[in-house]
Amino acid sequence: MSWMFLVVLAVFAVMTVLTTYHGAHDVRRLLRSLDEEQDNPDSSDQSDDTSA
Amino acid sequence: MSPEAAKALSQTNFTTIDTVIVVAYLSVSVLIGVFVRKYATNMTAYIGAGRKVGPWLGVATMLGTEMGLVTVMYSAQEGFTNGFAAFHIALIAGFGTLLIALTGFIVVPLREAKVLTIPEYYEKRFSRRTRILGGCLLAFGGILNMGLFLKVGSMFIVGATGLSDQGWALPAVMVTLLVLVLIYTTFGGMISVILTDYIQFVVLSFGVLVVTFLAISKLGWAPILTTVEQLKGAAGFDPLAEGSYGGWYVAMMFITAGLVGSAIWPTAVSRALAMESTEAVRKQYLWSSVSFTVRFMIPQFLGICAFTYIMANPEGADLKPLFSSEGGEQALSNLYALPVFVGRLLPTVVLGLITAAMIAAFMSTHDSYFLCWSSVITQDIVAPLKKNGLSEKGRIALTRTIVVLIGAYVLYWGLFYKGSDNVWMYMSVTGAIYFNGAIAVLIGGIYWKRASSAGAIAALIAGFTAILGLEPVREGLRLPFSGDQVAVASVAASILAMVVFSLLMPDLSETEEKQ
Repeated sequence: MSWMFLVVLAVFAVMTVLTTYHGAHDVRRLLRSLDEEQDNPDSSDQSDDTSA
Repeated sequence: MSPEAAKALSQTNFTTIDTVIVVAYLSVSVLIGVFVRKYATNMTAYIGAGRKVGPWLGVATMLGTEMGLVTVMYSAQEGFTNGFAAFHIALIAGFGTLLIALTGFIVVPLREAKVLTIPEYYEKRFSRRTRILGGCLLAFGGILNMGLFLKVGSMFIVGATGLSDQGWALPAVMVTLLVLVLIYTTFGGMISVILTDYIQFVVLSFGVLVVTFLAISKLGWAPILTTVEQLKGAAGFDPLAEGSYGGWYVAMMFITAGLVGSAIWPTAVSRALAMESTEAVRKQYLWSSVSFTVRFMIPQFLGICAFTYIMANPEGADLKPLFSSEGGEQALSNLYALPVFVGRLLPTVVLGLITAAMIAAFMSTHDSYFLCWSSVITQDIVAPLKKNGLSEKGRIALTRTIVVLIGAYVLYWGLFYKGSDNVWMYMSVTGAIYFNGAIAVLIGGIYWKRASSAGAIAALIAGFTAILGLEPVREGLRLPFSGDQVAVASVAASILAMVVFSLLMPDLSETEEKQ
C-alpha cells in the first residue's frame, strides 16, 4: 500500500512540474492566437453547428 | 452546539495573513475573467476557447476542473469512513483514463466530429429530437449533480478557518464564493475558465503535495496503517471485505469512475473538444490518467490522516467525541474532519496558501460546470427549438443569463436539500440520470452502424430511471434497492433499449427517405 501511494505521489510531482512549465508556454500561445484571431476574424475555427 | 465542541472546532492556525493571501488570490481570478472578456466574441470562443488549447494547458485545465473542492471533500469523507479500501475508486479512474488515452475511445471521434457539446453530436449522428432530449437530460442531471458543490465546498472554508460553530458563516461563504465565480465565468466564458484553471492547477497541485508531505511527517506511516488496521480491520483495506463497499458498489465504480468520469462526463469531454488536435487529446488523456488517480487518492489519503489524527493522536483527542458515533448519533458531519485537521496541521501562511488552493479547486469546478450546463441549454435545447435561430450575440447573452440562474439554484439547493446520502453517492446517482443513457447513445452512435434514432431516444429514457436511486425518491416509493443497485440496473436497461429499438426501428436510408 505504502509503495504504491508513494509511486503515484512521485509521478504526480513530476507531472506537476512539467505541466506548470509547458502549460505556461501554452497559455502564451493561446493568448497570441486569440489576439491574431481578433485582428483576422476569418481565421477562426468556428463550429460546424449551423442547425439552429 | 456544546461549548466544548465550539472550542474544539475554533482551534485553527488561520490568521489575518492567511485572509490576505486568500483575498489576493480571489482578486487575481476575477481580474483575469474581466481581462479576457474581449476575446469572447463568438460561441466557439466563449464555450470552446476557440479550439486552440495546447496539450499541457489541457492537462492543467482537466485537473483544475475535475479535482474540485467537492471532490477533495467527498474523497476525504470516503477515506475517513472506509480507509485504504477507498483507493479502488482512484485506481479504477486512473486505469480507465489510461485506456482511453491509448485507444482514443469516444473522445477522439467526438473531437474529429468538431462538435461543441455532446448533444450536438446526437443531432449529427441521429436526429434533432435526440439532441433536444439528450440536452434536457444532460442539463437536468448535471445541474442536480452540482447541487451540493457550493455547500460542501463552503464547509471546508468554515472548517479550516475555525468558523464551523458560527451559524452565519456557512451561508455567508457560500454567497461570496458564488458571486465571485459568476463574475468571471459570465465575463470570459471558457477562455477565462481555462486561464484561471491553469493558475488553479499550479496552486492546487503544489498545495496538495505540501499538505500530504506535512501530514505524513506529523503522523508517521506506521501509525496511519496501524490505526486503520485496528479500528476498521480488513474492511479498511479490501473493498470487497465484509463491512466495506461490496460488489455492487465496485461494479458501479467501473462505470462511473472508470468510464464516465473521463470519456462521457461533459465537463471532461468539453476539455477534449477544446483541444487543438486529436494528438493533443491523446496526450492530454495520457497525463490525465495520473491526475485522475491523484484527484481521488490524495484526498482519500488525507481523509485517512484526519481519521488517524482524530481517533488515535493525543492532539486530536478533543475532536474524537464529535466524530465518533459510539453510543448514538455522530455530533458532527465527517465532512468537517479534513478541514478541521488541516486547520490544526498547517502553520500560518501555509494554511492561507492551502485554503487559497482549495478555493481554487472550488472555483475551477464551479466555473466549468456553470459554463457546460448553460451552453448545453443554449446550444442544444433553446437554439434548436427556436424557428428563426439565435444570433451569436443572442447565444452568448442567453448563456450568461443561464449561468446566473444555475448559480441561484445551487445556492437554494445547498441551503435546503436534506438527503443523507454520502456526497459521492449523491453525485453518482444524479450524474447517472444523464450518463446512463449517454453511455449507450455515444458508444452505439460511434461504433455501431445500425444504431438508430429510436434506439437512442429509448436508451436516453431508460437511463433516466437512474433517478429512482436518489434517496428521497427511493424512500418516497419505498423501493427495496440501494442506489448503486439501481444505477447498475439502469445502465443495463439503457444498453438493452438501444439494441432492441435500433433493431426493431432502424433509421431510413437516404434512398428510402427520398422514396
